[in-house]
Amino acid sequence: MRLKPTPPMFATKLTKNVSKILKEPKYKIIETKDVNFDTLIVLGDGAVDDLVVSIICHHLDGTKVVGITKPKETRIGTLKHFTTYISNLKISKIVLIMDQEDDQINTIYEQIESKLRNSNIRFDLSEDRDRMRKYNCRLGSWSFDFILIISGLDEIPANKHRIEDHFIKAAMNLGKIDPPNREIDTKETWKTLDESVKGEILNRLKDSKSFLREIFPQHFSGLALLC
Amino acid sequence: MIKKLTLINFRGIKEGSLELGDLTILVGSNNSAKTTILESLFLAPNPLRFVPYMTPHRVNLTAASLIHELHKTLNSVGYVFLLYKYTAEEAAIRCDDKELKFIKHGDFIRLIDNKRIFAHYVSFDTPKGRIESFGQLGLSSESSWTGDERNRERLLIPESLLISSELVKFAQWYIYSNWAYIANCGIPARVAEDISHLVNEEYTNITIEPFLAGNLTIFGLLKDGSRIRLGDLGAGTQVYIISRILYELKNPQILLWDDVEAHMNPRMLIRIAEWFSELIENGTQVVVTTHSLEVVRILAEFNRDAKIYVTSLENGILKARKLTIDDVENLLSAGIDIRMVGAMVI
Repeated sequence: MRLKPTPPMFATKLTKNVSKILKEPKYKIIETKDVNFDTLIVLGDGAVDDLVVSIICHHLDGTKVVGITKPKETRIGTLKHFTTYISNLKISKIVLIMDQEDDQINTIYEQIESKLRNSNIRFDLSEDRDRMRKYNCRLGSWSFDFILIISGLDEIPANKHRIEDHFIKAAMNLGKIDPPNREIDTKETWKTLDESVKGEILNRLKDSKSFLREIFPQHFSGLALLC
Repeated sequence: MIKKLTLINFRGIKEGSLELGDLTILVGSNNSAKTTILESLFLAPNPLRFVPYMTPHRVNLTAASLIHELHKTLNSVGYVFLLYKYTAEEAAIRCDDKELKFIKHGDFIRLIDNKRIFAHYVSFDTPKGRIESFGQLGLSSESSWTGDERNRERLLIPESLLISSELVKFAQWYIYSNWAYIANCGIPARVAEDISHLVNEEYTNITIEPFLAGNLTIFGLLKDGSRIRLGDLGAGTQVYIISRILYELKNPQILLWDDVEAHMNPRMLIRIAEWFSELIENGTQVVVTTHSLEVVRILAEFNRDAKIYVTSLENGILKARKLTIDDVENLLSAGIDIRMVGAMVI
């Protein structure tokens, strides 16, 4: 799977980040030509989500091009743009990746469904896994799939569950840090890890599909639905 | 005003049409035909008319020869580049009901129009029948010919003027050669006053005077009597001064500006947008290309009815989608930049 970033500054950041760990296959992952796509990945949070998506794309392989963007709004706030994606780009699959933060998973689902209703989007839940849901949606006469991926892991004792939970799990599995015995801020913990350790973790994720799948289960299964 | 432009086999465009407004803004990726659209509108009045541009050897350029200069690579000669893929037998630029055709015939491209507005026509027999041509361009030579000099003065559509930062040097030579007329029309003083609002210095006039070794140079004359050469001003200021002089001189009814943001600071762009709205109010049609969304916003702010098009070329077929400034803003806030997804929004 290949990524076509849609805002220029995000494209710059993505290219820079991907270059760090996927030097050779960079242009296999990032599409720079003016090509059409029918699938859009919307990042509800910013920091490292683009890197995770890039590594998963690297493992999913293939030539399918999907758009990727990061709107100004975060998390559920990005749903306000779904009608724009549908009416202007005729997108048939939208993936939203967002952090759980300190919300209950069910509360997030309720808020998402309420937002969809308010946007006149009809929906049926067609797949429900741990922190990953797929909805079959309709806006007017246009049908599209909406895949929701919520980042975070219950097994990590965090005050807010975020995509960094997954990196902390990876660091623990590789013996780089000890399992925390109290609630931690995973974002801060990841940020303060030594750059060489971060690099080692990212490289392992890049090199081992099974490790990636174990660390980012909901992301992997959700994005695999696009292939 | 030209309402609809249709191009067939013209340069990189096999086929395509576009509805034009008082102000038309073309946005798109590189190689999405934006400049080709401007060039077609520049040629459409009459490719053989003299335009306010000259070579450094003081040779007057025609509209066709100026476009040739812009696309000249190495020792390339001839006008075959006007024909799609260099192989099309004929090309057409249609502005509403007026059509200019370029027909390949022997070693030449014959020019024909459908309104018979030219003073003199020459008949040729071609495999497709007899054609009446008002002039010709060399297919693989620099030659151009018009059967009668009066043909150079006739226009199929209203006069158009092409502006771009690449044309400054050609315009400078023209200005040198026609300075007496330009100066006596009072154009330099008006332009100097205008430019004083945009830069920190205050200019009272623009002059042509000797610099070194008796060589003439265009100067901006400052209030304190000192002078600054045009070439020493910022590139954006140079383009603006030249475009204002040429506009005042030629009074075209269609103003075409390629990459309007090139070298321009936002302050200058705001003045240009304001100038465009003055022109439009006075009946001039403006068509610009840009890669900058900041420019789209500024121009559209002054001209809410501006037609904004995202263009794309697919196997030679020109595709364009009209957007409002609100569409552009909605897409931007949704994380979609129309310049990054040209083909998609179309």
